[in-house]
Amino acid sequence: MKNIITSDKILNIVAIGVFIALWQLIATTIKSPFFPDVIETVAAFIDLVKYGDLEGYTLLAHIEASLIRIGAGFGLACLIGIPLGLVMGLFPVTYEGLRAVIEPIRYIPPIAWIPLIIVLLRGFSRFVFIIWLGAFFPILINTLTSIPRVNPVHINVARVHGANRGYAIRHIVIPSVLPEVLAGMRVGLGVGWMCIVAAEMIGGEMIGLGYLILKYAQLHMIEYSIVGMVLIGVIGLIMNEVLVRIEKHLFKWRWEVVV
Amino acid sequence: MSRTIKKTAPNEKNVKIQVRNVTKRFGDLLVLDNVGFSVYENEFLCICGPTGCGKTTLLNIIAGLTPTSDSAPILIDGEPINPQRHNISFVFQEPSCLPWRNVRDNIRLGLEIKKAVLKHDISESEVEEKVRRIVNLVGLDEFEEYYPHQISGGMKQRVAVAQAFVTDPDLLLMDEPFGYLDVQTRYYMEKEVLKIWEKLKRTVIFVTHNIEEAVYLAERTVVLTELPARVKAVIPIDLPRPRDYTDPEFVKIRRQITNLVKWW
Repeated sequence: MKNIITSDKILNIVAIGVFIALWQLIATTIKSPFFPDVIETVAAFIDLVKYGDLEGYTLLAHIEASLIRIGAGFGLACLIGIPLGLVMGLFPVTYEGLRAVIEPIRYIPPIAWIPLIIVLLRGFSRFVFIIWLGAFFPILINTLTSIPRVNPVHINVARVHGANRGYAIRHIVIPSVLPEVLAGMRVGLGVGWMCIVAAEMIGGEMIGLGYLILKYAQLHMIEYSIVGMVLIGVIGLIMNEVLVRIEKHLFKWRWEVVV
Repeated sequence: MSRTIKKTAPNEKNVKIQVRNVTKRFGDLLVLDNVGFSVYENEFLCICGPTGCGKTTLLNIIAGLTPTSDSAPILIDGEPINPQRHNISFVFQEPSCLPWRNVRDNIRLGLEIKKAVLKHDISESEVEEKVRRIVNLVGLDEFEEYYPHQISGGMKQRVAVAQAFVTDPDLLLMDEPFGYLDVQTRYYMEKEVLKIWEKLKRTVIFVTHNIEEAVYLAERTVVLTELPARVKAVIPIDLPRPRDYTDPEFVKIRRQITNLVKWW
């Protein structure tokens, strides 16, 4: 087991090395001022850490702003998606009856909502709504589809002992679906991050990692945009790792937790 | 003859369960056709029949898991059976342990439900004491903290048996509980179940398609016909325990039931 973990780490370090080498190779080959190499990007990162951006916002302030927005949008998506998914899974008629509305909305990219959001929402709610849109459906759908997969024998064991519906839901259904709910949350969190640029494009504030990318792209200072991209990637990775740890801890009764 | 015995025997067997002419259809398919029999208090009754003859359906009806069109076809102590009022346990053929609970907490499940849902007056220390006793009886002492995926199939069925017995059920239903186990483990489990039953004396209905198992375990065996299932015969098995598979009497009863079950 230990061997697998260490070899896994080594492989990942090698993969990062190869990725950076390829990046550098492409950058030196095409020699475009709009395709910065690794060194320029690192320099931009150091510059941002030291002096902040053009408007004086520090890198940490950008990260904090984005994290708060993700937290609010993702949190709201969990708060609505999980209970709604449970109800719709337990009463399949509700989902069947709403399919014609839910399914099409699910396929509309959050970016497509931008004009409507600009008209309808103001301030912080704009960020929250776009991120919520991205995170909500994976959470809802995962929760809802996990319910028919609850083992009927487990329900019957409880029923024979005299359990009522409420007890069966609390003590059999919810523990059974929890792993898939968490898997849905992980997917939702990823999609939420993917919506951050769209959200910060219209949020009307000069701060946030997504906005940082846009701001420097307009100035053709692409190496600064790439710093924003890499930071989003790294923060996403860390959040995913945290959720995986929680899964491993909560569901140690399962053989495996898919990473 | 039976009438005189009934009058004179002072400790006459009490009828615990009455299965009153159960009929069940799935759509056009008649599965159970007027199946009726009684089970005595603390009796070990086996139900034997060809595969796919509706044994599991019958057991699910008795447990109240499958509804029938007749009202109240099953009586327990003269009342219509109701899992919320009567103490019923069921050992399923499929592994039924909850994977997120360890061995001890799986065994506790029934007691927790009785306490939380049915408001049985039972203290936490009583629950712990009951669980400790049954864990000891089925020999799982060292595995209390293990999760189902960490133990063997035979042990999982032992957990299910312990969970079933720990509530002191009025009626214990077992649906081919050892069907998925290998032969050695099954012999071992049959012995174990008899040991527990002899100690705790509960009323058991045990479904099996394995005639040898029925003759080894049962005090009486109800033989069902092929589909639609009717009661073909009720065979008393008055052999001393522990029973010997090679005893001529054992073989004779086994042959008798085999001939009854044969549908070819």
